[in-house]
Amino acid sequence: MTAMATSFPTIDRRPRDGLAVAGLSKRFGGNEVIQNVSLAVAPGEVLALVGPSGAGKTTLCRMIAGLESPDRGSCHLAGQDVGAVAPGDRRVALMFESYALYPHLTVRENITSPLQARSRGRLAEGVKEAVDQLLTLLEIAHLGDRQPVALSGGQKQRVALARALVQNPSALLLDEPISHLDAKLRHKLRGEIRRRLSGKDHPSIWSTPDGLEGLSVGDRVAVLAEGRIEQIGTPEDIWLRPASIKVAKLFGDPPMNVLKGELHSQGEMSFFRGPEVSIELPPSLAARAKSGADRGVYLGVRPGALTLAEVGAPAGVPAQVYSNEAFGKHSIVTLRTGAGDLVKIKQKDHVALTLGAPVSFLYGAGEFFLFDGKTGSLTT
Amino acid sequence: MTLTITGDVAARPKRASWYPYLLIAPTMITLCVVSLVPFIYAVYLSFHSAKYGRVTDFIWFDNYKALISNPDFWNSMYVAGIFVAIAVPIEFMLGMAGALVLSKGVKGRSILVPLLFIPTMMAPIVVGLLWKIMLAGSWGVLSYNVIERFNIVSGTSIFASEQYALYALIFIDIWQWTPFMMLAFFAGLQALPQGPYRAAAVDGAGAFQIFFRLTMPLMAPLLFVIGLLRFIDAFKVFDTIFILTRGGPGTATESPSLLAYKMTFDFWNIGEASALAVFVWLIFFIACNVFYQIAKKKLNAF
Repeated sequence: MTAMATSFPTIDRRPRDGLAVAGLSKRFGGNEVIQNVSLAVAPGEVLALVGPSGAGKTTLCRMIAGLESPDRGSCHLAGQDVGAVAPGDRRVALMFESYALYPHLTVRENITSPLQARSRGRLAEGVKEAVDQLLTLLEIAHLGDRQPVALSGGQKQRVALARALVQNPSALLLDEPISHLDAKLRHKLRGEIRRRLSGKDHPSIWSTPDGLEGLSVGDRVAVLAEGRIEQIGTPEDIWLRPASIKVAKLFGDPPMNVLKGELHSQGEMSFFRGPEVSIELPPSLAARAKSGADRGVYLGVRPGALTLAEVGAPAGVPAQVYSNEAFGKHSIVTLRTGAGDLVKIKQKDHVALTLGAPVSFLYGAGEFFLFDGKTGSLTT
Repeated sequence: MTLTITGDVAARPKRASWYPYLLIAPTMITLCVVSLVPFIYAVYLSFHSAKYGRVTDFIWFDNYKALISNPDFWNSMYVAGIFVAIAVPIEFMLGMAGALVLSKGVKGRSILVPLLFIPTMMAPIVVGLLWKIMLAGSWGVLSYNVIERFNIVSGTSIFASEQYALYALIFIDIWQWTPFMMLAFFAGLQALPQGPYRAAAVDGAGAFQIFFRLTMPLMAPLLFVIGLLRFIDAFKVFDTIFILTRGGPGTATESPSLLAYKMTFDFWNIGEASALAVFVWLIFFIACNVFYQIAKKKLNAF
């Protein structure tokens, strides 16, 4: 065991029977796809692993399952160092992002295949009922006797999901389990699977590129970007205190607007000066402006905190309409500022706007995030 | 507007009705001239008395009757049966074993693979001559060093042994075709999807489980096609036997192809030879259909 980074409090809480990886690194050619990743998942806990595509989520899952061997670092499962344990003996259930179904077996046979592989062909009592229940839950009960070739992408994904859920593993790794399903089914399964997993005594990792999905399914959320853990925390932590711009941009629909600018203070008041805009900061964010530290910062503001205004409104920032999306429940307007930045505004009502028309918008009073101008990490 | 569109749609199938046939016509015409016409002529001959190059009376099934009561015919079927039953399974197993070794990443594979192709690339006549020299009585490399040393056949070539000549020919067929099987299966293994193997590794499937329950089913269509090709090819083997034993000693290695050759060019009984050809064709036709149905149902191939 190598000395491990201690920047995350969760590492120290290494549960005896959960999953713990420490200092995991992996290099493919010149690319370091996983860099010093440490995280722990307790039994019954669901860790949402959120990261954009290419962040290393799949590689991390494959290393835990034993399909890739790490260059450095350790992996513990159920209290045992599994570094030298073959994939088949780790008893990990891995749902592959690419499904990896057996093309010559039916849906039902595919789902029971992991159980069959371990029991040398004989299936325990109650397996059929468990499979039936899963098929019904995933709405593929009518496909039980089909072969994968006769299934759509979303159906295959549900078969792969069922094959992972039917097992009683030492750890369950779901690699983008519901990414190819329609919205209605995604909503249903997020809750249903989360509920199921919470009742189990094994740790689960749920990887997804969708930040909001991660917030909804994870007891805790780990944010992976470019092979590094950016932040681990509860969904509230991640939402209210995103550790960096990278994290902030992953969570939110649409993502947070980020402007580059400088901090200034004038007497009791603190300001953020960006391109053609000066915003008064709330007292909670004023400390840095007065501290005399480097003044270059990024200001983050959620699209919901901005409002559209008439041209020439006081304190309004002039801009042009770039695009206008009506969603029904809300609408998202994208504006191009004079400096060429794109700013997204999320508002309740849909307003008819001509593309290219001049408008202005207002920064609300609160809900600003300040990120360091060099490191991009959250400042307080 | 709508009418014009309907007109267009209606016009297209008209062109489509003859256009595909035009496209396949060159192939079909060639196939008819070089394959179907001779075959039909063979069927025609098999119903006629055709001896010494003269086609005379229509004699119904007399050629077939003569064939069935000809012990040489049944002998040739027996010879071909033994040949296929021993050579093809051994080629299959050795080929599969070799393919698995190759796919595990042997050193110098890029050199090994072209070398392996040599026996299959050789003209069968050359293969025959090569083995004639290797197995020549008393001085042939293998005869002198192996066969005579272990006293299997002494004093003469193994091809002169009524007991062992057929097995020598089977051995040569295996030598010639195993590399082909190996490379065909190797190519098949390379083309298999990787995902299921990773899933099997995570599921804890053992090597035997992976081979019999994953590799074999996934390879089934390829195994079937290669198996069928080898079955047909081995059944009608001619060249190596012709150059090495001419069906002898006696009729110990007389395959149906050799018998048909002898009937035609030694005895000039073209009618009966045609009956033999048609009979062999029927066997293939039935066997291939049975194979195909089994493959379709049991192996999920096709």
